[in-house]
Amino acid sequence: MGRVAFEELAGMRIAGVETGVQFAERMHAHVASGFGPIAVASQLAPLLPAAGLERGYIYGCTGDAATSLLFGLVAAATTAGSWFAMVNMPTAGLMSAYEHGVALHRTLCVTGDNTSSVMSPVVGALVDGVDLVAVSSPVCSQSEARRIATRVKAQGAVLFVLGKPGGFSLDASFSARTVDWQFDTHARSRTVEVSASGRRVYAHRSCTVQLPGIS
Amino acid sequence: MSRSIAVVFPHWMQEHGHLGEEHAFRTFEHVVRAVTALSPLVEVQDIGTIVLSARGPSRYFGGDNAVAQKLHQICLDTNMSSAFGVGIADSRFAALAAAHLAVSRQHPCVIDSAIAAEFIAALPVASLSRVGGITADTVDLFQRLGLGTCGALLTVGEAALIDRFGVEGKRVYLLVSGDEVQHLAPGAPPSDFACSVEFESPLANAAHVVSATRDTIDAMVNAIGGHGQQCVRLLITCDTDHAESTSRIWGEPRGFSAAVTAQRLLYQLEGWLTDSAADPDAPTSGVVRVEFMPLESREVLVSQPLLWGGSQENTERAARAASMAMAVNTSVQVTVPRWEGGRDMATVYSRVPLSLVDITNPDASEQRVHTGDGVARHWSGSVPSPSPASVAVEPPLIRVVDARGSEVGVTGRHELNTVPSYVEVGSQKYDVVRVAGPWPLEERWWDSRRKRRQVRMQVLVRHPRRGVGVFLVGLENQQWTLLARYD
Repeated sequence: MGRVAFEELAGMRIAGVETGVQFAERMHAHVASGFGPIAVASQLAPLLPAAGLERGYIYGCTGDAATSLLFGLVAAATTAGSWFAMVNMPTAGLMSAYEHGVALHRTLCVTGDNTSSVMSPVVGALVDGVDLVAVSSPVCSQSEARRIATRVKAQGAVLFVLGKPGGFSLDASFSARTVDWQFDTHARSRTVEVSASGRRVYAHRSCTVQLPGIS
Repeated sequence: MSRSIAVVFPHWMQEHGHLGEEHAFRTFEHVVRAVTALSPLVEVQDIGTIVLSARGPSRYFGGDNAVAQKLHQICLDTNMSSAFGVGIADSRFAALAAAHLAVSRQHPCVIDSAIAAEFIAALPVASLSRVGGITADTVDLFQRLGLGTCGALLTVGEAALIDRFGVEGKRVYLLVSGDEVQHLAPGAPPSDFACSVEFESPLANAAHVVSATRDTIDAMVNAIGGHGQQCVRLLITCDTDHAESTSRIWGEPRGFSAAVTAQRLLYQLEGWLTDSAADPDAPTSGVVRVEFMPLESREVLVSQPLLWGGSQENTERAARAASMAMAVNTSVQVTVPRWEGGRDMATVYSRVPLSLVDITNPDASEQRVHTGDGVARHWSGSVPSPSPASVAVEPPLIRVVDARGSEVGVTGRHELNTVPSYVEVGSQKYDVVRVAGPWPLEERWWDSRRKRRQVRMQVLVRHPRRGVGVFLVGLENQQWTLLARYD
């Protein structure tokens, strides 16, 4: 196969290969259909190929700033009208969520026995109606996790898994590591390095943000 | 302190407001005109509320009781249906509260100076928001703190109220101690903003007067606004060519804008510039001079409208999903956050069961998590923001030790007795890099059964494998606990 000029490539359809232009077209059609990615704060956009959370994906959050990163990721969507459910996160600081900009009047806190027979149907039921669902260290068998993943895709929801993913196969995972704390008279803010990786993230992506402090 | 007479018609707006606020004002003008016969300078605080000084009328008519009876009769004569009350007491707040008491008694309520303090002390705190202009959020907080009466607030003391509620705390203290509240900011004397306009030829039509004064009103409102203030009480005086005059104090709790000021001037003049054949007191010439004198101003209260993104459909889907999740198993609990306030990270927002609230009502949901406008967000001794992202439900016991391995303590003056060097959480040992605090916390010190003393501090720690982190640790009853982590 000879060399293909860049302009020709734009119009070509090669099986299994998506060019940048085609990707952009697909995204544009996606957004126009109202089923496009869910907006995130501009500082976190570099982490995501579509510059937003893609519906139907399962994201993982790990690292010592995982909870703050989760709040930062969902804040913009909840203020825009999406609902947010926190499953099995009794220690999540609601005041911190408020400071990150999460709309607490669209937030649900769900607790229950952390067993596969309880957690799987609960998460499954929630993704049917709630746009953003976060679950911390889920205990789900692989088959249950696959069933939930199908429901997430069908409903166009976004599922976050904090800590160990359990049986879930993650589309992308974020790792948030605190680089530095600005600490004088009290803890003021911190610099967090977030990196994204996974099978739906085409290249290693990372950014450095202040948490809280993104909008 | 000035003895005041208050006349209230608590249901006026409901009874006459069905045709709009303007109609309610115009009908109320008849009552105001009748009361003016008793004393020329009356203050219309709002629709249905008139306040006037007791000093002049009381002497002229022979005592408070006589003037109260006379006012009662005037109100009976002018208004057939609406319930009303007349109250006389030593301060504006007390007089208004007395007038509200008089509504159900159908008899004037005169509070003697000798029992003025006891009268205010026995009033429920709810009257502060009803007639005292204190925000409902603050009053709600008083009730939740177990401070049910104005007397309880008085014993808490001025310093504590100002410490917690700032300017509003000062106003609360003035009200409950029977003083008058002055909104005036120091250094901004009201005469600076007073302005007047004179016409070359007398104007006999109220609408003409209003349009001729419009520029002056705009200039005055802008001048006050330029100082970050808004006028809440305004004295309007109009003089005619034949030296007749009308003066009236107008109140507007939401602050006077140019349009509202012009409207009040119109009401005042329409009642006055009537045909001299019908009313013997009517002026015999047109208006030549209008004067505006702002009496009280306060800082501009910015109330931002709520932005309502999203659709009701989203909310209904979420409510359905939540009820499906609850149906899975009895162990599953779905809760929603509700703002409680306070200094304890774990209870600033409580989690209320979904069955107790209606999440499909957007206004109620917004109200539920609303952080309380007007209530100072930060208590003294509260942990500064940012807040920790992980708050322990049952704080684990930890050890905070100095370099020699002895437990760190706090002196009676809330100072650390030694330098913390390690924090031991379970089997993990964290090096202490920096410490912020300690911040003392004394809760419900007025209540011997529920009082609580705690000291909290933030520590920046380093772990050989886990890197840097910040903990919020607390000391209560000689025991350190790990209250929260900044995850």
